Amino acid sequence: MAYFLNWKNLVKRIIYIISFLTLVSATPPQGPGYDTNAKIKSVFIYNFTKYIEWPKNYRQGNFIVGVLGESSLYKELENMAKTKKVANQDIELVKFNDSKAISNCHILIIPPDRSDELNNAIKQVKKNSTLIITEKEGLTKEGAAINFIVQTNKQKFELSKTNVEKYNLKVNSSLESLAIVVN
Amino acid sequence: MRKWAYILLFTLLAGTQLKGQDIVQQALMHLQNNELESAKELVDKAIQLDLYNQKATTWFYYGYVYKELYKANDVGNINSTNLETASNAYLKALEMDNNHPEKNNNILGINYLAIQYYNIAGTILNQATFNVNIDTNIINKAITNYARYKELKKISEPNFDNTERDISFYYQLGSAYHLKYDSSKFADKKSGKYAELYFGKVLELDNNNVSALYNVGIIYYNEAVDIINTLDYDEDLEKLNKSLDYSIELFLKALPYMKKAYELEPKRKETIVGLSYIYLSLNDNEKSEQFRKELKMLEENE
Repeated sequence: MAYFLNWKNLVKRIIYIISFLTLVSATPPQGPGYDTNAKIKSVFIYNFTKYIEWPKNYRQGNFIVGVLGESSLYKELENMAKTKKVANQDIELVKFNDSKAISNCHILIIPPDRSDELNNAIKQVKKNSTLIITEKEGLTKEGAAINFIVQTNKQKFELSKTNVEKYNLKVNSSLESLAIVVN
Repeated sequence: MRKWAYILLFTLLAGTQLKGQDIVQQALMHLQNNELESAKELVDKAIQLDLYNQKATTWFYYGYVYKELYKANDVGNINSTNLETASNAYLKALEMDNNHPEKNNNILGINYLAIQYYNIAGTILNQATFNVNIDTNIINKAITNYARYKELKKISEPNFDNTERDISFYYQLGSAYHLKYDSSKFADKKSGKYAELYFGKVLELDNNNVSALYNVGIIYYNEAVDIINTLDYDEDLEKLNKSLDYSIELFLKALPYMKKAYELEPKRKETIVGLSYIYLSLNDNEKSEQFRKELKMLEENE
């Protein structure tokens, strides 16, 4: 039986076979590049605004979130400020380059690498109703109201009711049930 | 009188048989003259005649003509009916008589068609790798074509080791679904699950396949990141807690795949980046930093 040889088809077929084999190295999948912890902490922080009560005179004007220095949280907090309000207050983000520059704010975030400035920060806000949030082990003992910690890979937070109330702030008991309460 | 009746009947039957044989032979003559359409008409006619469609060789010639039609008109056509007709006819010929006179050519023909199915599967997956909007029905077509390839290959070359091709096929399939999943910004969960499934099949066959290991790791990682990324700032703390637990579970699932990919190819940058981010998400900053430094060193030495 004769098999017909058609060169045009033969070339077509060879190209065809090659196409399958070269596929193996293709596919650059989307790789990582997102700081999940910053988002998680931001969600926590927004929740704190719902479970903590500021005095009446703090419930007007902008709701000020201060950050001491550079923080991986900053970008997320910016997003939060753009899209959310605290009750009817707009969220305003303020960056303090120096602890001496800290002015009145509702929340003050002290990143881990600025933890040694906690005492200075406390001095700056002691007459205000500021919720001090830190991100390093043991800082509730040094005056932080809320301190982010990690337990078995999980982001958690310590809550010092005493340190919260020092600043004339009230804690909703629901927050206590979700926190690691320390005093 | 009765004698004449028998002679008449015999002549009619013999005539019909001759005519039938002529049809097939004529078809082959047309085929040799490259008159494929005429050959097709004749084998189509022959296959309708009970006297001939009971013969394995008729089915073989029928398949042969359709195979030539496929070669002439349809190579690369993922919807070719000629290919389907040819392969069915070839299979039927062997099924009817496994030792018919054209058996060797029949087997060769089946092998040729098997390669066509394999190539069609490849063509579809090629398209799927570059077209994120490709319909999943088309991807499914790659699966059916590949299954057909394997079915035919088993007949034409029973001892052929398909492992390498299976690995390549499943990898491409996984990649096609992975691309769909990524491009949907992880909303197309079904594609994500399929990607995971097919990369998993690659690993069943080759548990040291670095690309598949990396991809499975990335799928889990991205799924976990997506859970966190799509959290609303307003998310209730109870729900946040559950989301965190699930995302950690996924990061922990991603870790061994990424670690193994790294062990097998320690200088692959994307794996080092992957490990750095997985550890960061697991709040292991020390290890995350270690891989970040390793990446920096690798880039400096380039």
